[in-house]
Order: sequence, then C-alpha cells, then structure tokens
Amino acid sequence: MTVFEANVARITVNNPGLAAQIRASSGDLLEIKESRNGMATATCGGRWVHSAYDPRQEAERWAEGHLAAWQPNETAVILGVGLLYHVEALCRRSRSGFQIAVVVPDVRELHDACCARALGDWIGLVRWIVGDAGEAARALASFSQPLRLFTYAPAAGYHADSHAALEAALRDAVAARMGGRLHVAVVGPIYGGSLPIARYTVSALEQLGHRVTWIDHSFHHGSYEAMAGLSDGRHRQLLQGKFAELLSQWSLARVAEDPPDLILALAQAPLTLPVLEHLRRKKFLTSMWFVENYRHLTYWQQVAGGYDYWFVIQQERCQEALRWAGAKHVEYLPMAADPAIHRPMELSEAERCEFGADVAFVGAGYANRRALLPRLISPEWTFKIWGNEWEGAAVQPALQRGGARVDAETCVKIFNATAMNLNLHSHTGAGLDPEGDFVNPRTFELAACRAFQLVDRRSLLPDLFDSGQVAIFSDEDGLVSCLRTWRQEPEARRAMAQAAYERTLREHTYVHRMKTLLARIGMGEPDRVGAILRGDRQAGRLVEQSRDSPELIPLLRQAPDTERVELRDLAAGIKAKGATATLGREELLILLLDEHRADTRDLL
Amino acid sequence: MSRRVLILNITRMGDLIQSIPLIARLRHEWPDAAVDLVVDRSFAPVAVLLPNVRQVHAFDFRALTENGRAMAKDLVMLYRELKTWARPLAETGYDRIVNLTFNRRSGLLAAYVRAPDTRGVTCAPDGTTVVRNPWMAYFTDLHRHRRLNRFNLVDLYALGGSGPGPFTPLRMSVSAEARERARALFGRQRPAGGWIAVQVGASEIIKAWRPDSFGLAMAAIARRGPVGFVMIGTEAERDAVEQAANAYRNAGGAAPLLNVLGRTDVESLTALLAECRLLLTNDTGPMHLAVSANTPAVDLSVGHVDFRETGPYGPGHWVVQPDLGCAPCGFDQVCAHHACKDRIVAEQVADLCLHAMGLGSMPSCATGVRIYESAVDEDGLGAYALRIGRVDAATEWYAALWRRYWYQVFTGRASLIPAPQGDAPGREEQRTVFRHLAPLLRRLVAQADELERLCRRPVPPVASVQALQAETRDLRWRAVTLAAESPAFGPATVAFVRETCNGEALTLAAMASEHRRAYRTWQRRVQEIADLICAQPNGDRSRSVTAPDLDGCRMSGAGLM
Repeated sequence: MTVFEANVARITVNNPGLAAQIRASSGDLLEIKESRNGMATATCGGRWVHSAYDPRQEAERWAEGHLAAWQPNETAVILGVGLLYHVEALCRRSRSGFQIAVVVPDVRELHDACCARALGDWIGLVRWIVGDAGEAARALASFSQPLRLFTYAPAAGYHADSHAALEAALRDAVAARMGGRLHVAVVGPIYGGSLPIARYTVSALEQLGHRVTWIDHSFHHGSYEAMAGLSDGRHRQLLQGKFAELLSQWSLARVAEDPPDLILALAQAPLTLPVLEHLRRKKFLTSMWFVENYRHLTYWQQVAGGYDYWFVIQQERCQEALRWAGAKHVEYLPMAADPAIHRPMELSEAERCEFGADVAFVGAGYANRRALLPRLISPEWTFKIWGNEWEGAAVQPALQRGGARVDAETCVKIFNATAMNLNLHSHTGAGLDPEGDFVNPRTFELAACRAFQLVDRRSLLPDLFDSGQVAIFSDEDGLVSCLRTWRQEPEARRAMAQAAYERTLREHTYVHRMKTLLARIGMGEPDRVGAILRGDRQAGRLVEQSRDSPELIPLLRQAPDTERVELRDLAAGIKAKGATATLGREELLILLLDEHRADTRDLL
Repeated sequence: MSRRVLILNITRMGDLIQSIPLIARLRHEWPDAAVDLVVDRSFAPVAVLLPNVRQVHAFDFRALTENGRAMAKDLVMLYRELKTWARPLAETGYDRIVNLTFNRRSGLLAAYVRAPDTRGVTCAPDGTTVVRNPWMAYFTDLHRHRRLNRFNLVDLYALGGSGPGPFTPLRMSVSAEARERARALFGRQRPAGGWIAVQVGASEIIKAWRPDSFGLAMAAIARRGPVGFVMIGTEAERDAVEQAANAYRNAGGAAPLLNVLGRTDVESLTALLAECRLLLTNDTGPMHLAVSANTPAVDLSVGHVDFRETGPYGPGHWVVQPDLGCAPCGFDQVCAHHACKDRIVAEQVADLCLHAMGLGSMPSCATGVRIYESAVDEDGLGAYALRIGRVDAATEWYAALWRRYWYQVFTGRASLIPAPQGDAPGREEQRTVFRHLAPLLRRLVAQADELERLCRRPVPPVASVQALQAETRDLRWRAVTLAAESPAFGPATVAFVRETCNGEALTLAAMASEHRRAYRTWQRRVQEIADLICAQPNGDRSRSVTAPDLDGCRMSGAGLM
C-alpha cells in the first residue's frame, strides 16, 4: 500500500466522502520538496509552506505557542493545511476531550499532503471541514463545543480570501446566536467627533440587552479647553498630556469600581499605553473603535499594541499599518446611524422655512469645502451652509446662524428639510480627497433620515450603498451637473432616499455594528466574551457544568436558568442568609472567591 | 500521632521570614508537630527555605483575583480550581490553624479548612469575620493605636500562634550551592572593608527612601571606608537602583559598585547578604533575609512603616525613623509630599552605617530623626532602644505601660520588663477621663447584665430588649468617644469595640452573653489601668494584672483615688 493509500484509508474510516474527494483530486497545489533534514516540505506559489530546514520542529514551536490559549472543551479550528505538520503537533499535545477541526478550502492540498508523507492515526480523529466558506461556517457553527481559531499563517495565506469569508460567516453565526448579557465599559473621548459616536454605541449596546458603564470624559472638556488658552505651546502640551494621563487613571478607577467583561474605547479616549498594558496584565479585555481617518490622526501608533482588538473604518493599508505598529487583531467596522436620533421627521412650517433649501451642506469649513462650496452659490437654487470654522471663506451669503456649530437634533431637521443634501468628506487639500476610502457617519445619518444625498466618491462606499441608494459625484464639475440633474427629479430622489433608508435600517445601524464587534471579539475569546454571548454563564448552563461539583447546584438553582450568574450574585445570596445561618464549605469557598474578585487595590 | 499545624501566610515575603520563630515555638510546644504552610505561589521559593516546615501548599491567589475580577473564567471553573487545591487541606485534619494573613479572604480559607484550634482571622458559622486568640486580636487593633505598640510582628505571631517562650532569632537554611552562587556574583573584587548590600526598592514607593539619597549616603560612606557596594533588588526596581547609582557617581563615589539586580533568587540573596558586612535598606523582605543571615541591617523606616512592628528582629541592627508628627502615617494613607524621607540626612546615615560595621564611632547627634538599636528585652521579645533623638515622653510612658499590661493579660505571666518610671504623664487629665468614664461603664455593665437576663427568657420581650439596646447604644457611644483617644484607656476601648463586633453567637441569648463579657472586660481593664496610672511613683506598678474577669468589679467611680 502506498503512503497515499494508507493515509486516505485512515481518513476513510470516519469520512469516506472526503476520502473519495481526495482520491478524485488531481493535487498539485503544493510543490513538494525535501528539507535539509530529509523530511518532506513544500512551497506554494514560490513561498515556503513549511520550514526548509526542519518542518517538524517549526510545527512543534507553533503548537506550543498556541497551546496556552486552548481551553478545555474547546474545538481548535485550524486554518491552513499544508503538509499538516502543525496539525500533527497540536494533536500530539491535545488532552482527552479536545477536538481538532481543520478547514480545507481546496481538497487538492489535502491530496498533496497525503502523497507527501506518512500521516499517523491522528488524521482519522481530525474533523475535516470541506466546502465553500458558507458551508464550512455552517458545519463549524453546528459544533456543540466553543470554537477557537488557530491560524497557521504560511499555509493559510494562499487561501486568505476564503478564510476571511469563513470568519465573517462564523461571526454572523455568533452574532445571530447572541443570548448572553455582557457588561461593557465604554470609554469616550473628552470632545470631538467620536463623542456622539460613543453615545450611540452606548445606546446600541443597551438595546442589545447588555449592561453598559459609560465612562464619560466630556465633562472634563472645560478644563481641557482652558489649557488650550495657554499661550506657551510647550506648557499647553505638557499640561494637556498630564491631564490625559490623569483621565486615563480616572478610566482605570471607574473600571475598578465595577469591572466589566470588555472595555470598548472610542477614538481619542484618554487611555494611555501604560494603562492599557496594566489592564492587560490584570486580564481585562480592551477594544478600540477608531472612528477616525488613520492618516490624519496618528496617535494610534503609540497605542496600537495596547488594545486587544482594533476596529477601524478603513481597510488594507490602515489595517496593515496598525498591525505593523503592534495591533494583534484589526477588523473593518464602518460607521453607522442611530435610528432613534437620525430619523425622518415631520417639520413645522417655521422649521421648514428655517432649515429648508434646495441644496444644503452641514459641516466644518475644511479646505476642500472652502474651495468648492462657493461655486455652488447660484441663483438656480437656494443653498444653505450650516456649521462652524468658515471664517474667511467666500460663503457668507449661504452661511447660516453666523457659522455657529449645529447640534445633532438640528442636523436631523436640516437633513429632513433639504431637497438635496451635499455630503462632501473633509479633506485638507483643495479638491476631493484623492485617497478617499472610508465613509463618514453623515452618509449613514442622511440615509437614516430618508434624506437624499450627493456624496463624493469613496472607495468603500459601494460595499455599503449602491448607486440606487446614494448619488455619487467624482469631481467638482460633476457635482454642479449632478445638482442640476437631480433637481429636476424629485420622485427619483425620493425613491433613492427610501432605498438608502431601508438599507440603513437593515444593515447600517449602531446596533448592527455592535453585534458585529461583539461577535468578532466573541470568536477571538470563545471562553470569555464568546461564552457569555452563548449564554454559558447563565444559571442553567452552569448547572450543566457543575457535574463534578454537585454541591454548587442548589446555589445555582436559586437563579432562573437564563439569568447570568457570576460570583457576586452567588455570594450575595449566601450573605443574605443572615446571622443565624450556618454556612456549608461550598458557601465559604464561594465567599472566598468573591472576596478575591472584589479586591481592586492593585488596579490603581 | 503527631500534631498537625497549618500556617496561613499568604501575602508578604517578609511575613514569611518573620514567622520562623513561630515555627520554632510550635516545635517547642509540640516537638513532633508537623507544620505546613499556605503561601501565595510567588512566595513558594521563600517558604521552602523556612526550617521545620513539612509541606508548602502554594496557590496562585493573584490569578484567582484577576480571573474572578475580570470574569476571565466562569464561576464553576474558578470554584473547581480552588476546591481541587483546598480540599486536601480540609481532609488533612489539622489540630491548629494559625492565620497570619489578616484579611477576610484568609479567614474564609481558615474556616473552610477547619481545625479545633484556629488562631487569627476566621469566620463565624454565618460567614462573618472573627478573630480568635487575644494576640491576633491585638494585631487587628494595632492600627488604631500604633504609637503605643511595642510588640514586633515576629513576637505577635509566635505568641499568638503558640505561646510565650525563649527568644528565637530569625534563621534560614541556605545550601552550599547557593553560597557558591552568591560568592561567584562578587567576582574577584575584595574591598578591604567588605561589601555593603543596598536595597533601594520597596514593595510600595511610600516605603522607600529616595534613590538619590541612597546614592549620596553611599558616596559619603565610600569617602571614609574601603568598602564596596552591592545593589540588590528585582528587575522592577532597576530604575530606582540606576538613579541611586548615578547619584553615587555624581557625588564622587569611587568605591566598587556591583549590581546584582535580578540575578539572585531568595536563597542566593540570603547567601549573598551573609557575605556582606551590612545591609542598608528600606523596610523590606530582603531586610529580614539579612537578619536571618546574621548580617546587621540599617533600616530606614519611612512612610507608613513602623519599625516597631516590622523592623529588624533581634539584637545587632539599627533603625532610622524620621522625627515628624505624621510619621509613621496610616496604612491606607495617600501622601503627596513624602516629607518624612527628606528628614533623613544621607551623611548621618553614612555615619551610622560606618558605626554599625565597626568603622566609626557612634554618631553623637542626628537631626530630624531618631536612631534606635535593636535588642531583646527581659521577656525575650524583640525591642528597640533609643540611641539618638527625642521622643514624646508621654507616648513612651504609656507604650511601656501597655507593653507590660498586654503581655501579662494575654500570657498570664508576669512581665520581667520594668514598669514605667515616674508619674503618669497627664495623670490629672486621665483621672478626669476616668472619673467620667467609670459611671458610664458601671451603667453599661448593668444594662448588659439586664439585657442578658431578658434575652435568656424563653420568650424574650422584644420591645423591652429593643428599648434597652437603644439606650445601651447611646451610652456606649458616649463612653467610647470619651475613652478612645486617651493613651490610658484608648487601647482597652479599641479592644472592647472589636470584641463586640467579633461575636460568634448564633442566638440572641448567646449574643447577649458575649456582649456582657465584653463590657465587663472593658470595665475591668479600665479599672486596672486606672489603678496603675494612679499609683504613686514608688508604688507597686509591677503587680500582676492577670486576674480573671470578676463579676463583682471594684469600680466605684469618682472615689477610686
């Protein structure tokens, strides 16, 4: 019997269908070579899949590095096939009860592996996940055990798209099954554009049923601004830096008051790298939603390694840059709207009169807007500009309220009252942003208001809205002709706005974003956030897990099956028994655990 | 069958070393005793060096806190991990548990393990925290009247965990291999005057003298003696050590400077300290290691450190304490200025170090500090004798009074240390306090008797009990307020307050009995102290005060004296 036949025979025992596919496959995805120590190794597209020197030793190191994260009763899902040295190494280290699944995007690769070297009996125990991303995700989602994904990068790299699709499908599956209640601490900025996003985030998390501690730093804005009044720039920077450090400690103190399952910071949140590192040492999970243009605000470089999870509104280069700076997990998470705030409104006649116009723009006077908007002042239409920082720009005839800042509620009225809302992303140059990629919150907010908008071209826009939902212009001249065209098409505008509105409610609310964010973190932390979202910390599930400690069951049974139970809850029940109770040993242990839990002296 | 003793000593390295005399005392009490230790995993390397310990049970309590607090693990998993570790302890059947970790967590562990004789913090049947054993209870009261305390923790541990006995020095066993490793660290350098070890760091910044000051003191020593310095500590203390080294060089320090930071384990550090002629240190675990290696230590007692509690134990060591109204500060004090550290002058520390090594005479004076020499007193307990500086005479007088009093009350033995001499400072003031306090105590005792009587009825009259309790509460508040700050009656009052919160009774009647005993004890102690301070200077202040609690108290109020 050949090596290939022997290997396939082992797979046949539990998976005859896959064995047949392997036999039918032509292979030849990998180029098999001999390593320096005489073992089979391989390349794919000219890149080494395993070590050219000692593939087994390399695999052993990989497995060793991943073993600590692998919790009991989790299924390890390995992305990356190659010649399976790494799978073999992990199998060798697995304890009883552990399961290993390997995702096989292309059966040819498994064929090559079976040809290349003799695989042991362990391949009969592995669960092979074959098929497209959707099928694979469905198969994995049906597992009863939590999943922990391990990536063998050299082999996963040439199936990157497939793996990304699988992860997205799995994330959706996790999001769809969210049942548990998390406690999330949301850390907001002192001021700026991410402040309202932080509020929307808090609201979305609460709508999803999670408990939120809102660490609001906006009430420190006055002090921060007062420092900005210092004429000596060095003094100003020094004090503002120290102030940010103080607020970072403040955030830590708030976390200590009521420790959360997850800390979610919004861009510009005052959390310094030392504090983030301290939080990691103390086993807190941290995440950052960086709702800013990474090219303009570059402080992420200093804190990239501090957060466990990054969510950004830009793709490829942004994510590469963050990873290069030390971020471990970076995901794309676009902006959104909050339908409770951004909504269609019935306006009074007076409001229509004040806020209404054929064309309107809301926003600050960035350079590109200063250059472009004066050209839109025309007798052909009424044009209103709302917002601040327009000093010196040739927009005075259109500028409303003397260039005062407008609040969110007023914005919504303007959006609702305007026939054609102009949404021009900010840029510090004169024209449209040549690198324009991310989609600003205004796009979603206008859509959620069922308002028609003309938005400048953005590379990430087509994934979020199609051409039947928002009108897109690519240059300054195009904008004027667009306005002329759409001005004549009120019905088409309405239809477009309706389509964008429906899409937004369906896909682009902050609730959607928070679901995605939590699902992603849940996948990365299957024993923590993932377990809580699955409901594994609920009384009923904990009872199931208490088979070897039956004395716990009566204590757990005091809570409804679907209620999340943590140490503090159990301890509170025990303490409530009163002064005449005689506690059992298990109750003393619970109180002991709870005392340790409640100790926060080392946090600050 | 041999007796089995479990010592819980979880949180500090220094405490572990300080429990060596307790272990020796236990072996003296029960020669065949098997003594086990529960420690945090981080201190296991120290624990295994303690002599006469049968088994060290180490657990990662820090991880328990972190995993529980961040909810990194679910409660079933946390429970399972803890139970798996703790159950064998409960099944061992210990005859005595000595809990030297004074917090509720360790008390819950002690209650879980259970022993017929538990000393220190444990739990009542309902899970509330209680302290058993008068010495251990004294320890918990100590922070309320620190300036009057004259017991070193080493002695409190030994007296509370076992009982009185001969003085036992701190000594640890160090292997020949560790000694070799330590010697290798010195290399070929051999300063004629020997090495001085320097411990710049401390577990908390408030406990550490300023690194620059260490450097200046070292430079001053180097100018006058042919010594070398070996900087010890952990990697975490590197910044402070480098700061000290820079200050040393900038001040012209030219003597050899050896940095072994992060290159020693506990055993080799102990061996290294044994090779040194002196340790200049903050109040830290390494200080106790030096003591155990029989190397003189100069202890800089700053921040909230009180050397009388944790200073170097036994003869041959020196302590520098800032002379500042707020020093030592409270345990939980957050201090913005650390002014006490600036009271200690580097040159004067250098003088003291040279004297401690026999390379200089005793400094004739020092400014802003007190200098003490450690000793053993007549009762075989650790003590400190003031060599330079001023002390508050009243504080010293009452501290000496309480030192003798508590020793006699708790051990039932006469103390061999002399009674404080001369008139009680502020005698008239204390008499006035007593004159007001005595009738309150008499009424409180009467009410406690009556409450107990009511509560013992088959059906206690609830309304009467509640009314009497309310009246007692008010009266008690007045008495406690009156006595709490008094150096004569404060410590007994603190003990009373603690005793009333330290009950283990499950029924109303039993609770009333506990309270009645507490009131009577308070009254008796106040009376005894009043007798002592009101005795004439040549009167009999050395008489025993160990009489058992008497129902028929002699207290007659204002007419006592």
